[in-house]
Amino acid sequence: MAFAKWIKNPFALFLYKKLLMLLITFIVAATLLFVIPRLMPASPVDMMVARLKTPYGSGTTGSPIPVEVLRKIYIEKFGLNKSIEIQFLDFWKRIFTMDFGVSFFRYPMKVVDLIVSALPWTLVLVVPAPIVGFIIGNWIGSRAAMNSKSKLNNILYYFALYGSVLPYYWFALILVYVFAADLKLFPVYGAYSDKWLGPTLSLEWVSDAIYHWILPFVSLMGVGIGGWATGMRASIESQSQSTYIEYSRKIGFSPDKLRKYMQRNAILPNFTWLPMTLAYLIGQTLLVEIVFGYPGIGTLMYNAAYSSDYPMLEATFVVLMITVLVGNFICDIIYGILDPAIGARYVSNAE
Amino acid sequence: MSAMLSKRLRSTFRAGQGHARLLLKSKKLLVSVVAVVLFTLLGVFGPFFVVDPLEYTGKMYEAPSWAHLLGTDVYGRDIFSQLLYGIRNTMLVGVIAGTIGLLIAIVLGGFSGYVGGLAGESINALANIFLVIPAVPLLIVFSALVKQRSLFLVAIFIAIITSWPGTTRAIRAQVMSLREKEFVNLARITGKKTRQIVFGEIFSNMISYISLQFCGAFASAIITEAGLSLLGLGPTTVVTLGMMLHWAIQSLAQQLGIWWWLVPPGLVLTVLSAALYTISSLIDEVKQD
Repeated sequence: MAFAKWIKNPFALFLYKKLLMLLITFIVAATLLFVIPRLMPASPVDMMVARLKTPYGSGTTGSPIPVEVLRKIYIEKFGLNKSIEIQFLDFWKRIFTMDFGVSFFRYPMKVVDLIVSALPWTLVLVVPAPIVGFIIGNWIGSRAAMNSKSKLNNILYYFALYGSVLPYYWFALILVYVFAADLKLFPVYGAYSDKWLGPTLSLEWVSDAIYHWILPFVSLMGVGIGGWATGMRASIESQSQSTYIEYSRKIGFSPDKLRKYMQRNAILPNFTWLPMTLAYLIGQTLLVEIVFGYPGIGTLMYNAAYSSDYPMLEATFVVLMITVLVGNFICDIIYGILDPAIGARYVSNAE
Repeated sequence: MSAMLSKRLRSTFRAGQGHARLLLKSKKLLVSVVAVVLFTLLGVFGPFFVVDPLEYTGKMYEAPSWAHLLGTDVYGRDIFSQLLYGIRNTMLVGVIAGTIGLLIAIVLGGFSGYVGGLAGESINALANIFLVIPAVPLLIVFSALVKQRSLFLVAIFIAIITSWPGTTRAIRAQVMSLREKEFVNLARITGKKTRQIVFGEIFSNMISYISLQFCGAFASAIITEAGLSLLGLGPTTVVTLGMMLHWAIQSLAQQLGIWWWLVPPGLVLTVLSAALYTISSLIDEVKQD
């Protein structure tokens, strides 16, 4: 009985529906990843073999193994000699077992190990950036909407607005140039100083890492603020014209109370945009990582693209896709909690 | 027939006048249109007046001077000439990708909005799915598979991954709302063919809306191309604005403080995309016509 209740809970129904949609999205994205390389004139194997060819003489590899033999080895290793259905199953097996083989660029390290060590660096940028940007942007937007006479509010608002047209990667470049190269306030490169050979768990290392993190974080967070600010401003302005505010005003609610009501209701439509920005944001994170030489997934992908390391490319895309979908799902859960109407809407939908 | 034609012309003209008034009324829009026209002229005619962007014409890292308006890069190549070629090629990628994306969106959005049904819903779902797929990583995978990439190829990649989903949804929504309008019902009752209704009644009333959508797709394609080229994964055969940034990063210009290499391409990208987005954000005002 309790189980049946849990199944029919409108909030749970809402989440099932979202989860199903995200699952379909993942299947479509993964299928694209499988199909497109097979439609291209040059297969990943051709690329890798071409890379091994030396400029001297044709068909030699610099190693005693002739190209044709190498090609055969690669084709067998990737299972490209099997039928397309089996290849597709193999592809899904790789995704489920997270076993993408060995990286060519960082031979003989395993692709998964490299990703596991790089992913945290991407996550420390891409997780807080939208959250902090959302909070600051909404704060600026609601202040600009509520007391539009304040000069400071307007300055902040237009600063955010014009900042939002900057391409992330260029903003990052300008930040490095101004604050790191010119003013020498921040480090220009990397996630921690070279004197550390790798991450260690000391207070000194953590503060050093935070010091290196600030500029990349600001370049990702700063650009997004304007969008949230304009959204919040428009949302509050439409709230302030709604009948319930008009009524509350007429019966003499204090401006503070009105503001509280409006803010609560205005944040919801703005929040629906958040999951939609995640896919874009993760792409921009990759670019910002390159600008800062940050050792995350972006740098891995960049190196993989240059060294024709196809297993790595495949794996990084899958991991990024999962990251985006998890982010989307978390947004959906928060939205479901924030929106009191979801229960009612889903009950009425079910009928 | 001719009376109808002249009536249509007159109403088009009146709409055009309305848009011209809008242009004059909004300073922001006027500035944006002027900026886009200016960059178009620079891109089309500028390259005829400058030296080859890949030729070594000066010393390494010369600061801006009359000989080199924006200085030189690490190989002594003229940055101003790179910038003009970059504007041309970047805008070309934007126009091609925007056009292809728009054509896909018109077909899919029009079908999905007018015919609807299961097929229409599936198209809409597919567009929603594509909006969640991170475009830049997927483009990286594609580009890495092709060693020699022409401008056209990169534009096609961008079009099929990023340019169509948002536009399809927008066009679908607009078609759905127009489908219920009285004049469309009238056309349906008088026995016009579906093709006539879709092109003659619906799309003919969406021309301004569609062209504003195009501006948005154009802007986003420019930014995407520059991001991809920044990684060195854009077109390999021509200079683009993103390629300039790629070279600058490779030579660590941001750490050496070579501002004349970093600022111009990014500034052009920012102004151009902001102008295009401003124009396309007027969709709401046009929709109310």
